[in-house]
Amino acid sequence: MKNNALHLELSFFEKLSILWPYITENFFSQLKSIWFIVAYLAVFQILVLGLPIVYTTMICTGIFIVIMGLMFFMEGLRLGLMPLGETIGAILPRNSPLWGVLIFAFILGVGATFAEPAIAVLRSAGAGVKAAEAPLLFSLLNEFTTELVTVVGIGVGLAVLLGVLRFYRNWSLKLFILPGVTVLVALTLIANSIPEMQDILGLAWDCGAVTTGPVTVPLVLALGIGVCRILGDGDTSNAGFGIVTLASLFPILAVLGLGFFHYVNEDYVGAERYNGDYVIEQAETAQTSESVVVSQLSFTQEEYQQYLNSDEFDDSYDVSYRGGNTMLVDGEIVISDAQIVLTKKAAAMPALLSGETWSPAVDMLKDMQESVLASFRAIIPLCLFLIGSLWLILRLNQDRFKIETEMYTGIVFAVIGMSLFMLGLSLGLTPLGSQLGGNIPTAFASTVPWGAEAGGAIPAKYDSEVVGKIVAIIFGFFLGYGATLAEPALNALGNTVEKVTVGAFKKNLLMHSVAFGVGLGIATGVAKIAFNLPLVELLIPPYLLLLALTWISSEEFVNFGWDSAGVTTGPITVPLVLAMGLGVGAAVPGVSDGFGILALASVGPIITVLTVGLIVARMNKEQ
Amino acid sequence: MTDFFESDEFSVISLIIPQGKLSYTLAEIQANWPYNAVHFDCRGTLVREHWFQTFLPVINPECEYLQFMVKDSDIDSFMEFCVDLADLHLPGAGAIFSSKCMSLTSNAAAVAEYRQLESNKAPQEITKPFKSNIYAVYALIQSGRTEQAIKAAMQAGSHGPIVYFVEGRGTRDRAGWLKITKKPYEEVVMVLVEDIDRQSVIEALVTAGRVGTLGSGVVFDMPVGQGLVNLPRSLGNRSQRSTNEQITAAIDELMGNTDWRNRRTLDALMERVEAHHAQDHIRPKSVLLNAFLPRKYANDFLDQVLIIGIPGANVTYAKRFSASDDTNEQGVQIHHELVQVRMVVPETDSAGFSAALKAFAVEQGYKGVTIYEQDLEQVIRYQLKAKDVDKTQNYRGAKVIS
Repeated sequence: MKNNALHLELSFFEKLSILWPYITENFFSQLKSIWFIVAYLAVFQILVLGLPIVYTTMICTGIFIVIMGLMFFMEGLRLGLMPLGETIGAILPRNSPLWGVLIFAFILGVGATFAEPAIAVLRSAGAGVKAAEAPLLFSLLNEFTTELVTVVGIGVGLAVLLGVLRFYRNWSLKLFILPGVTVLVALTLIANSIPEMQDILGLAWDCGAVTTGPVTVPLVLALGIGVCRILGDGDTSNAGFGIVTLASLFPILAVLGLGFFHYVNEDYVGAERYNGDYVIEQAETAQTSESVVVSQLSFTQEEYQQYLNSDEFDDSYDVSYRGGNTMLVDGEIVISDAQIVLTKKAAAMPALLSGETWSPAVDMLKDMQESVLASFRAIIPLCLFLIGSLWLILRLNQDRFKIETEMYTGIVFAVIGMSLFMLGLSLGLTPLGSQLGGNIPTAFASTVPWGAEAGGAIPAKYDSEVVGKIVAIIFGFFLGYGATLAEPALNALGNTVEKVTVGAFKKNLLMHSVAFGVGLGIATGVAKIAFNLPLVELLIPPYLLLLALTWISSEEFVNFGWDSAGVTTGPITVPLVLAMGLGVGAAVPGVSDGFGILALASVGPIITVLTVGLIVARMNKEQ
Repeated sequence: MTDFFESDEFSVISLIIPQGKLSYTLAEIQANWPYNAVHFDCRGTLVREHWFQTFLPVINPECEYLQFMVKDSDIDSFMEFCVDLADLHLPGAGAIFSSKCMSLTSNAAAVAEYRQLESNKAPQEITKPFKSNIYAVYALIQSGRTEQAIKAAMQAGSHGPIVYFVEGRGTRDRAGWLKITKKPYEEVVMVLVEDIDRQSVIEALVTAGRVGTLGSGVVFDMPVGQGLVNLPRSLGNRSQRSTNEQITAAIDELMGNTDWRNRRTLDALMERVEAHHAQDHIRPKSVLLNAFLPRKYANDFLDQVLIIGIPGANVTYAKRFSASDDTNEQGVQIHHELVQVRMVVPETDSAGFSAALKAFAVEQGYKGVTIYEQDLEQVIRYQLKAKDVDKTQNYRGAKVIS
């Protein structure tokens, strides 16, 4: 229905004058959120590690696409997904009985888990897992995948259900967190005493961090806010928050439970009642990687010929000797009959940018197809489910079903944005991050730079291994900090918090405290891998500290802090962090998987946000 | 009861209290008075007085804004009840003020019931010093500029402003799919000032909020029937026993007026007052047209607002609390959601607009709609130079289609 009195005819230039500021404003706000991580990665690679950046053109294109994608996606969230969630949330309590609401919530949670490509992420984190070393973990990742996803899905479903029920009964979030975390800590300690279960801990805790992605979080937040618009005592402090928290605690429980089940049942690889067809190989792969490194440092035949012809003693060769008899002659030490050996000195690479500008391995068309498919899978079924439920509820109550056209525009924007975003990630940010992640071990070990295998290995950047590892840890901190600022789900949470508190709690304050916490968490995670520390000793004390902090904090900050923990690990942080974790892990003997960093990255922000809350509360009390 | 009735015997009482007092205050008011509360969130101001606070994250205190539609005969005792309830006489506790509703028309069942009320409380002597020289200044400002505007207003002598979010409706809603470019919300800075500070505060708000440029908002002020303002002005300094503001307030109270604060000579003051009165006759008066209605009607109603030619409206989403609210089996209240639509319109057109909106509500069968007007003293907004509006009704800027 077009109403002429309402509708204005605008000339093309008038339209442009409205549209142009809108586009630039959104573009720059996304640029602002992402520039730090990009600049940081580039500067670190060039200045600190002294390595060139490979595939620059591809990376720049990718980053531009990421910004475009984020722009569309955030607008899509604002116009489409969040209003949709909120509308449903506000309609449910009045028009549907409690059991109906709870069923809806459960299905939403399960569906969201299947839509998020979380399991793929976990697989890649466990890429180096060997059946011989961690049989139970290997089985879970390779044979019981469906079970694993189902269990996590049920965990998230229950979390959304309880989260909504919480609004109905006006329960405090602390009632869930305190016992929940206590149980988790106890289970973790028990599991830690069983060797097979020990390997699963990393996976379980990471599951909690990974399940809540950029589509689920805003939807679930909006749903909660909608429900709280109708219910509750008008107190804004717990309006709509808390579901994300539960959705990151429950999957940990679920995965640990699944692990215990299979442990007791003894049907994993190598156990008594195992009936799969996987046979444990006697692994002896440890040497191969080292021999590759050595071969990179050896002379080729041509170089040898060249040496023979020129007969020059080049500076770039290292000289050493082998064998011989050592004697003391006239006060000098003389070595006779020794072999003089020339070896190639590892070449330093002076160039800022590598000559290779586009990775031959990347097939843009295929990537595009994949990202479009993935974003369709993540958004469309959920939206259809929501719109369908809305229609059903309104129809049952003989009400008019009407959705604003903006909402459809928003959903389309979200799909476009998500596709571009994922395409851009695979072209730009992930290659950049994995380059650097792979190169980070050069700080403390001799390795072959990423994407420059032909150039041979380079020596460790820092003489002392400990110094090198500390550099890697500091790098991890800023990587976490920058990547978190760019996370779309956290941006959405920040906007929501600012809107719900009518601007009292600024988005920037939340973002920076969360980013700082994630940085700390990731630095700890890198330390864990670099020094091969046990995860349990790093994970349990912070959670015990959290129990105390949660106990004394105000409800408002408990909600914000715990929710932001679930939000932090999204599509930008995860690949960067995993690349780094695997890179560092590969250079440290005895570390087989990159699990655990994400779990640590979720603990950090809760601690920082709760601490900020306590500082603020103290200051307000002083007045 | 869905028929509309007209009435002139109501005032709106606004109560601003800190978040912590909300549930207690609401429960007490509902136990003692028949009036429903309309509530939305807002944020107060916190001024950093110590130098080190610049480095610390300061979070503005959240406040609650409650509005009651109260029968004129009850105003005094109701306001006194609220003052006692929320300890409003203490510094920094909050504010209360009343403003008269002109030409109210409503078909809300609750409001109709109030009309039948007999004032059961005996009129009492007013013991609390309500001031009658207060103005409420509302400034609709783009969200990036609020902080400067607040600072400027406080430097010019106002109390700590209250900020709340509104959704604007106007030009962009007429622009078809370009509607998506609209900002999700704008901020309203509300300050309560005494008449002596009014002009300078308004000027400060206009300058700092850059209201003088195209599409940047509007500032208007509304005379208040009577009120008591004890909003925080700034943090107490530890080294002093009392703040400057407390001292000023004490002298105000002793002198019985606030005139002594003006540093200008009396002559200049008189000149200014006269000039002001002279202006009043020249300037076309505006009124604030208010409408309360359930949220589910909001979109259609707002479309209609634009269709009948009102240039713009701003929308606040609020909740209605009443003693008779539905509760679910767990005792948690289910709220009714309202929108408050506010439109600044010229006085000459307001009756027509009001009637048109009422007719629309009757036609659509809306229930629970209340429309009323409030007088405005002055309105400051960007005014386009008069341009001929041609027959095709091309909409240009802030010009009203008539």
